Amino acid sequence: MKTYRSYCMVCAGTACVSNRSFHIKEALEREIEKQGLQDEIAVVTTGCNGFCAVGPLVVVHPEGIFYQQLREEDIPYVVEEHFLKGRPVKRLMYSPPGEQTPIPKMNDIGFFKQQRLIALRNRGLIDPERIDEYIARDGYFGLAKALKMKPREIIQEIKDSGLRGRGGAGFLTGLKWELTRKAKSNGGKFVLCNADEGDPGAFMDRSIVEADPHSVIEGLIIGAYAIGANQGYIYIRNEYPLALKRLIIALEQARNYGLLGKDILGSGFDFDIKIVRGAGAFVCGEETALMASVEGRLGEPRPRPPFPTEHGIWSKPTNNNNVETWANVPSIIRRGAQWYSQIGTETSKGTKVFSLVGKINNTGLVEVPMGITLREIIYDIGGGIPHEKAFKAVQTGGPSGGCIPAELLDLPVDYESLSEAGSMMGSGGMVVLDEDTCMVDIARYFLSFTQDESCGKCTPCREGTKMMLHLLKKITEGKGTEEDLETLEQLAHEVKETSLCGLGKTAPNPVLTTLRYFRDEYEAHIKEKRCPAHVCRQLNTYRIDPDACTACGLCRKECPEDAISGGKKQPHLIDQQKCVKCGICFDVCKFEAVCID
Amino acid sequence: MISLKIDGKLVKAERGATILQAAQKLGLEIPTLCHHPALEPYAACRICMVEVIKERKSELVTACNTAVQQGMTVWTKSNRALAARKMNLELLMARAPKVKIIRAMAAEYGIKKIRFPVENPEEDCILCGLCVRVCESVVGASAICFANRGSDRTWSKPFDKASDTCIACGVCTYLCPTGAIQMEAETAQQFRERPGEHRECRYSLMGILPYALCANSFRCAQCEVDQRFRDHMDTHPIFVARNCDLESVSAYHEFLKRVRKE
Repeated sequence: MKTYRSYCMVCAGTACVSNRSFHIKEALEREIEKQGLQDEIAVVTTGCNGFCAVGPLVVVHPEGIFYQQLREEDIPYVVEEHFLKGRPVKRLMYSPPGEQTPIPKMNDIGFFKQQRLIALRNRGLIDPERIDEYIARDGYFGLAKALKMKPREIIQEIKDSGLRGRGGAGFLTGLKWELTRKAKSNGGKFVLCNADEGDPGAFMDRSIVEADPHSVIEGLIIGAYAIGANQGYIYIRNEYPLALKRLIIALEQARNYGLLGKDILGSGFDFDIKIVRGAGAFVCGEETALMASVEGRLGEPRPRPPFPTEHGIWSKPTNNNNVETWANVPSIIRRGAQWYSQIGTETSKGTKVFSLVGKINNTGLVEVPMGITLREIIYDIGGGIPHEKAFKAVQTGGPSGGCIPAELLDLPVDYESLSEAGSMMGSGGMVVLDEDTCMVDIARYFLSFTQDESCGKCTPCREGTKMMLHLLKKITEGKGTEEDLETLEQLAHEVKETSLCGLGKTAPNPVLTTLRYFRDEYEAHIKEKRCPAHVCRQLNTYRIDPDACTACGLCRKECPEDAISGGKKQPHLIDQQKCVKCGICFDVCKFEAVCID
Repeated sequence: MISLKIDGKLVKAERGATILQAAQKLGLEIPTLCHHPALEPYAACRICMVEVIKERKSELVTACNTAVQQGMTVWTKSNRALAARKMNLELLMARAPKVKIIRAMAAEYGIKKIRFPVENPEEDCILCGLCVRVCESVVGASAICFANRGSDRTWSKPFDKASDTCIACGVCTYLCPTGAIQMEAETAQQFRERPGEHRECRYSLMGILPYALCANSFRCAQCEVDQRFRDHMDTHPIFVARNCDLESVSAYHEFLKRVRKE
């Protein structure tokens, strides 16, 4: 391999690509050639770097200079200053919110400092479309080592590492492998990778596949060898075109290198992987529904037991793990269970990838050791809440998780602590909510998602989530009664208790946790007909502040109900009888004269 | 044999038997809506919820598909089980308020007021799936299916057209607990009106007989062939569904295979 003086790692994760990172890459290449530096400077497209908030971004190695929010017109200047004159461009570097001094190096930035990368160890460092770069970073060494071990030893290693399923439930991975290995089968076993990530605001699995598809493939091969499976499936949603494309390329390259197919690395072990594309049903993330979908049937869960380890795809024993779990496997085998189990807490070992979104400064993808506190994730890595607003809650685990309030910010992030708080680890979505968020409205939002995504098979999930949503809507519109609140709580409890699959069992969590920690907000909506965060428009009363009103007439013009009166140079007035509380006047006023009481 | 306690009574059940079967042995009634002994458990109506105590942990399970375990204690009428059952019945009442069986069950459980809005007072399907499942697993015709997702879910025919594979056996209407499916008359009528001299008998469509002409205008109850099969083997899907359990269904399928070969 040719070596260069500098490497420009252009992030080509989905977020940066949509911010024109491919154009940045082309501009870089053009400019480098113009300056005659093509033999000294290499331009590499990598998977998601993680710091999506400041994309499109470029990291220059070996120094690790971090450039952010680049535009194509910046590129000639960067190439001339940095690569020709050796003067990194300060104005394109990252400065923490409210500070003036830029931080030149990536690893000095707070967002990256506290992260510990295992599943994402290659992110931003390799071109995901080149297998050689993965191999150069010790890729497939774990596989080579595993093929010399006995399957029993591999399973023991995974068990000793303490790795637990990263898809949500947190079942011990080694134990699941052992169960599948021991299960009797007349005609093969399967390994399955669940890449049907569907939580709103979650993009962990997507980024792993986009940044390092071979780590998932290597994990699957090791797992298949340990379990005794000769066929694997990756179930990935078709809405992830970039991930899908990179996965197809990676599989092809692995086949060409003899890492898939017959007699892998001369071991006599045969294995291959098929991609199954999902059509975007959230319920297909539930393993029994996913397996039905792989078989070509309706994506609908079935009761367990029998568990998939005995009765999976085509009734054969099937071991299903999610993307992040598989991506952890090669490192565990390569570096040993001892190394892995040192990271994390007593019951939750290793690291976890979270997608940090919502009202937070550093939106992006982070991988942190288990046991880190929510405060560290949100303030040290996430950089806190924008516009100096107050933190209200964090929703972990997506629509199936719960809202954790500010009092519990020092909660260590592990499977047990999160479920005790009424939420769950889930697949790793973390939505941060600030003081401007209405907790009743957020519960309504998540419920509207789950009720829409329910498959409709069992009564509590189909009818129950619909009725919960109905009650929540009633409350946010100011029509709720105290009896409704009681019914809602009872219904949420029964839906959780009696639903058939994980979707229904966890769908009430946002309601139950907001009722537990923010009951006062529900009561304000019901008793005082008031939304404390001023989000539920039907409960707002709009008023024009006569001192601030400049009588520009814009609100009067835009009001669909002609509820605003006032002439030239006269402060305007809202007729409360006519007002339908649409909030248009509030949105259009340039002088902040429309206020909410 | 496995021994367990249901509502305080000791009972022995075979390995692999469900809680529902064990309870029936004791003469205890656990209400069900989507269960049928000739079909695999579906566990969708969630009416048969019972409380199970095992190793000092209590959990709610569906009796129709949960296998008995040694030393298990089951309470079919505990407060927790009753609360769950009542809530699901109330939800079904809001879905299909006119359906007799639901009304009767709701009355039995003392549900007086429905706290949820009724969207369609004429709705009569509770989506128990009996029609879809019997058509697929007993008849082998797959002429009925589910369409849409979540609260839009409904039973339908493939592409919402009269199904080519329907043999008008009527087992779906026979099993439907609410009378939502009235397919027999409509489809049988289509059969009768099918033009041409050869009107295929349903046994021929099922691949049992090379019988190509129906002399009885599809009044199967009067049919000599049908009666003959009934004497032999209870071959009509309705008879299978009426009398049999899963074992007989597989015996029936064995029989079909055999006559198809002949």
